[in-house]
Amino acid sequence: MPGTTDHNQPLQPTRVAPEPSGCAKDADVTDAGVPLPPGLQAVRLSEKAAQAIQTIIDDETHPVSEGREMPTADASVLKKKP
Amino acid sequence: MPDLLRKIPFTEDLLPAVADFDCGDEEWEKPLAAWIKAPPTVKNGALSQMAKYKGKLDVWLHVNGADELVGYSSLGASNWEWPTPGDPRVPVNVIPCVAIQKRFWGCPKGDPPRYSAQIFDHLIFQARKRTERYPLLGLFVDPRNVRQSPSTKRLSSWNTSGSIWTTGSSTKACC
Repeated sequence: MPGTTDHNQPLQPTRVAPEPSGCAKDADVTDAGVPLPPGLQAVRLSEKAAQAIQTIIDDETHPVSEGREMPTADASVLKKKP
Repeated sequence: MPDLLRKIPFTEDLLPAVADFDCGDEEWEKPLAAWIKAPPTVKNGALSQMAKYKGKLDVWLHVNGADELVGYSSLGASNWEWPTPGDPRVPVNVIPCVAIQKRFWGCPKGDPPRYSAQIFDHLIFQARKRTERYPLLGLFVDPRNVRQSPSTKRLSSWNTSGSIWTTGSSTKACC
């Protein structure tokens, strides 16, 4: 998964590297992974851009998007599909 | 009356429902379908990643009023140096993968809000609930993807040239 990492190094999505020796493998997970987009790479925000975002976060008067809660459907609506 | 989407938490028993998921044929589109279709035994697929990052990755399917599978979304956690490289890492929200089936692109046409806007509103809402994370919502965008939805563009106003490291604020939706 491109985004869920504990680091912010450039992503290495084209191939899943073999597990380093000594590291536990995921049980029952094969080495044949989902092909991820080629050429995916992380580009750091510039300091100026990061500061601009931080300024907005700190600005109590900046318009806020609350998002919107989406109702939950019962999974059976998809299971009954042919 | 708007066609409002509903969410369904993604689980293994819903794999048959995504078997025909089609979000396009471009190089950066096909992996998004492969990600959601992958059984839990396939590394880097949604289900194996959900198991690996238990509690740190949520994946939802989205259905419309006709109970058709429109798309899916996901929300995870990461630690980014913030605000600038070299600063301490802070926990942030990230959208690892989000996709809408090709036949629903730009829909609903005459009755907004569009599905894409509804999905991003949902992700913002979910991100805001993660109060243990910094109010940032990261989105990875392939630089070749010039056909981003208006919602994506709204979130990606700080997208640097050609970057896929796009950041918006989940609490401020600063776009």
